[in-house]
Amino acid sequence: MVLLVVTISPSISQNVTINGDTIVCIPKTHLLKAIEDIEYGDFCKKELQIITNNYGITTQQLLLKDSIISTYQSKEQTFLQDIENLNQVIQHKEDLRLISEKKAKKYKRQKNGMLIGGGAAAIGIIILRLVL
Amino acid sequence: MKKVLKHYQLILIIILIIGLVVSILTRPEPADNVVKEYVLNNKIDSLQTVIRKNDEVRVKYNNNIIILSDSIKGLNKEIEQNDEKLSTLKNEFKETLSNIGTFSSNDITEYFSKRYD
Repeated sequence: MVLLVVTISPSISQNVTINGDTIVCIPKTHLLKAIEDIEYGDFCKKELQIITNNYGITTQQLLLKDSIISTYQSKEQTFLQDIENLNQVIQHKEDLRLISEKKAKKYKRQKNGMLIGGGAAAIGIIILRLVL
Repeated sequence: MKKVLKHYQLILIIILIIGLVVSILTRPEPADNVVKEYVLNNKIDSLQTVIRKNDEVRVKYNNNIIILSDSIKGLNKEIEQNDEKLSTLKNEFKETLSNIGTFSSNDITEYFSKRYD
């Protein structure tokens, strides 16, 4: 009875040896499940490959973005330097303006002096003429 | 001549006044102001040169940023293509799974033979 159960039960493997290899009988549902698992494994391998590829690309992108940030920082430095330089230019131009202002005042004084001198000379000549 | 000698004080004062006015008019500009002006102009020139150079450097930086951005866009396209591949792969896998359900014994034998022989 036990022997009969063993031989007809589908869940128990029945082995046959051909050319040194053993042929094992397995229920179809188990084999289908095994094929599904194999296919799932294949799919996972391919999926992993693509995801690894995407990871590599993303890492590359990250490096490029770091370079962009660094370039923007360098650009910012040039702007800050320009601001400092322009402030100095403004300061120097202000100094030049003050010098020019002094010059203008001096020329004005010279003009007035010239008028006064001319007037004094004219008055002097008139007085001399009157006196002499 | 006597009159001139008599009023020499007045003549002297007039000459002095005229001399004073002439000296004021012809007084040279202080040298330090000229030097200051020269130095300041030189400083302004060199600062403007630096500003111009910074402009050129920024143009290079901008070009560099454009190149890097283009590279990122190219990589984004690659990621999109990979995502498409992945979605195709998923669909194919779903189809394979539904096909496996209909496998006959011969199909199973053929499957394993193809895979491992």
